[in-house]
Amino acid sequence: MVVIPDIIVQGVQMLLVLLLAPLLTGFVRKIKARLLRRQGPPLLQPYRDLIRLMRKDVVLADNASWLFRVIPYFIFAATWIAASLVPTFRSGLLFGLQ
Amino acid sequence: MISALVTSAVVLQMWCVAGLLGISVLAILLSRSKSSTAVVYGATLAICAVGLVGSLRSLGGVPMNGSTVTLPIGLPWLGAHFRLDALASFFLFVVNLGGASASLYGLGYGHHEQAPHRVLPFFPAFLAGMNLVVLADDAFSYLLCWEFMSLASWALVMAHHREPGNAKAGYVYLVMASFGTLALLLAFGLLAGPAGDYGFAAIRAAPHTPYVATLVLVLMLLGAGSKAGLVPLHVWLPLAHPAAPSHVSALMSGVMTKVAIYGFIRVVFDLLGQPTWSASVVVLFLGGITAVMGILYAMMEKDLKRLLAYSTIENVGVIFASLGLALAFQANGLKLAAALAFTAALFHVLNHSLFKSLLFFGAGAVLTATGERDMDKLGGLIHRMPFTSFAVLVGCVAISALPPFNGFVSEWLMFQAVLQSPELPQWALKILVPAVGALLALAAALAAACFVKAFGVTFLGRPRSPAAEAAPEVDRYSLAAMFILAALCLLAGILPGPVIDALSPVTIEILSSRMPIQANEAWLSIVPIAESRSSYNGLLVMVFITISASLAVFFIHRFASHALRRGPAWGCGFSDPTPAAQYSGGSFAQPIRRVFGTLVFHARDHVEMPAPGDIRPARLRIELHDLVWEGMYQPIAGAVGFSADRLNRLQFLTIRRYLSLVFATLVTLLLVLAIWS
Repeated sequence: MVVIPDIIVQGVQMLLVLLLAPLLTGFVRKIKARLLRRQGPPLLQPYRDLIRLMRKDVVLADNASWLFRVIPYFIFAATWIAASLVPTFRSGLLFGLQ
Repeated sequence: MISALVTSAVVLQMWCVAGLLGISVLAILLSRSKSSTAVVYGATLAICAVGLVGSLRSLGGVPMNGSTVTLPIGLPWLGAHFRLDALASFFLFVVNLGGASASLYGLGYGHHEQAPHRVLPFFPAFLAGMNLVVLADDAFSYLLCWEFMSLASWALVMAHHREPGNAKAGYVYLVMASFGTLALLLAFGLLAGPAGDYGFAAIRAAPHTPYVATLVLVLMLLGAGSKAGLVPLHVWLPLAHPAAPSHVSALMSGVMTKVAIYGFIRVVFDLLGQPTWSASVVVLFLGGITAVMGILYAMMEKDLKRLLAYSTIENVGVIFASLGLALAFQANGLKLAAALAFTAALFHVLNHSLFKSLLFFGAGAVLTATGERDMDKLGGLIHRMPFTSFAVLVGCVAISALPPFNGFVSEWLMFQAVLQSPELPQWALKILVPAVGALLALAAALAAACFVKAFGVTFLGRPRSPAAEAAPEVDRYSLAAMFILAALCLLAGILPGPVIDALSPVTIEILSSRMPIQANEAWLSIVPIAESRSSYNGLLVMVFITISASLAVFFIHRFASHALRRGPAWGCGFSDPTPAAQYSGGSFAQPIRRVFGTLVFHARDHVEMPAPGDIRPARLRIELHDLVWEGMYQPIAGAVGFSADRLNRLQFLTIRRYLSLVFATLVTLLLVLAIWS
């Protein structure tokens, strides 16, 4: 099967996008700050923010429904799938534009 | 014994129609008995299921020797011809699917009906009329069945005739339906020509001059377009569709507009023969405008059922735009692209019938549970009606054209067809097609916003009225109908290949070309033109969204905090506000009203601020104008009223005056005759 290596490449690509995305945010913030002649947060600050946010409680409104719990995961998944279509380190991906 | 009666596919369908008409008579006899609702809807469901299977078999190309039948009724020298071909089979499938699901829904919903004897006899008759229009094979039976369908649906619109606004809706519908039939009558008259052979076979064989072809196209746009809801002939639709009971609204919006589209396809694609490219310009333009206008109207609406009716106008616009694309490609001999656009149109016909019926059923369920159609008096129903809200959510996602549901597939196919436009030789089309594509993209985005509003305001948040707070879940039949349609929406979305392949007999028959065979594609992908250009795989998208969402859930639950607290919603320091202070439909539509409304609706916001010291509340008044109604219909109505007032004097003359009038008419006629010859 030719498909198996393709799936692995696709998986690596998706993982790479996921892991590097906060770094890009950190980089943009740094550049913005430097343009305003400020020091700016450290490059890895978004990772620290994410780890900190993971430890926080979930607070729901009294009348929040199951949809409120489910939708964030779907939004994440949809964004991730969309990102997987963009070639980063290899073109001709399984899902990507041929 | 049955095989002796059913000698061909079309005969089977005619027996179904006869059965429906029989139920209609039975319903009149039974109208006062308690069991009538169950008997009528149960029998209609059974017959529609038979018709559904029959149409699927004839679409799949299982001919049961011969597909025409001639009844000795109608015009004496012509008889009534009925014929079943691939196009008719597809539309019969749509009609019977809608009919079956509406009957199933009616089994539960019908028990809440205040006056069942005003609905039950007309419901099967309406279905029979729609079946007959699709089956008719000569102009006379076509028009007769068309009128029968219109009148049956008019009776259903008038079922609740004492409710405010319904009488006006019925009146406007009647006027517009008569106008549409007049246009169709003229169109068929032109097609039959001086020889006057009204059979479709003869019309198809006869050559048509470009002049006649253009006139017929315009008349069909007026006739079929007024029934389907093309802007500016749409005014009756948002009045009449919501006025009927909800399962009938679903049939009118989901199915009857499709029958009108069938009429358009039958005449313009089939009977007129090879189209000219200039014809496609009109259809494309009207389709694009209709799509955007329809969804803008829907966005401004706060009545749930009217919102759905306006969204029907949008979808009809999308379908007409696809048909316009098919005309443009076919006129230039681009067979593959024409088949693609035509398949997209048919696929959207099927999809819209599925999710619009589902959404109208949902609106009906909300109406039964709360007695409210005004979204600003609903809210929080997801807790009270969990099953209904889930089915409606599926419908909203599907109609917003989000993958992996069916709406995405047909709109994606249509945009793939739009992308073929550089191959068109005419510069007008090269420019117009991408412009219409942009309009359709705008309409698709607005549709998503509109259904976020419809679902969010109705089902989420806190209940805005006591009725919404105490809403019960609806009965099992209604839920079954909604869940079957929701499942079909998903199924057509993740397995579009078989649907496209099933549509190929229709494109072969009408355009003599087809899309590539999808069953051969690996991994159930669909490929509009060629694998190297573009492909889509709904199943793969769904699987991957599910996998990545599950991965996210797994990691969050594995590594993140588990603690979950419930608290009162943050009210910006203004704790425990009334539910009416929540984000409403009007608030949601406000940005779009600001951007498009000033141009399209002459929208103005008036803030009435009391003077300092005055303790009156400030008020925001929004002024919206329906420019089509005010600019086009009111002047016509005014002119008709004015001339009627003037002519009214003729009613109160003395006998001498009448006699002199008659004499004057006679003299004038003789004079005209003398001068003419």
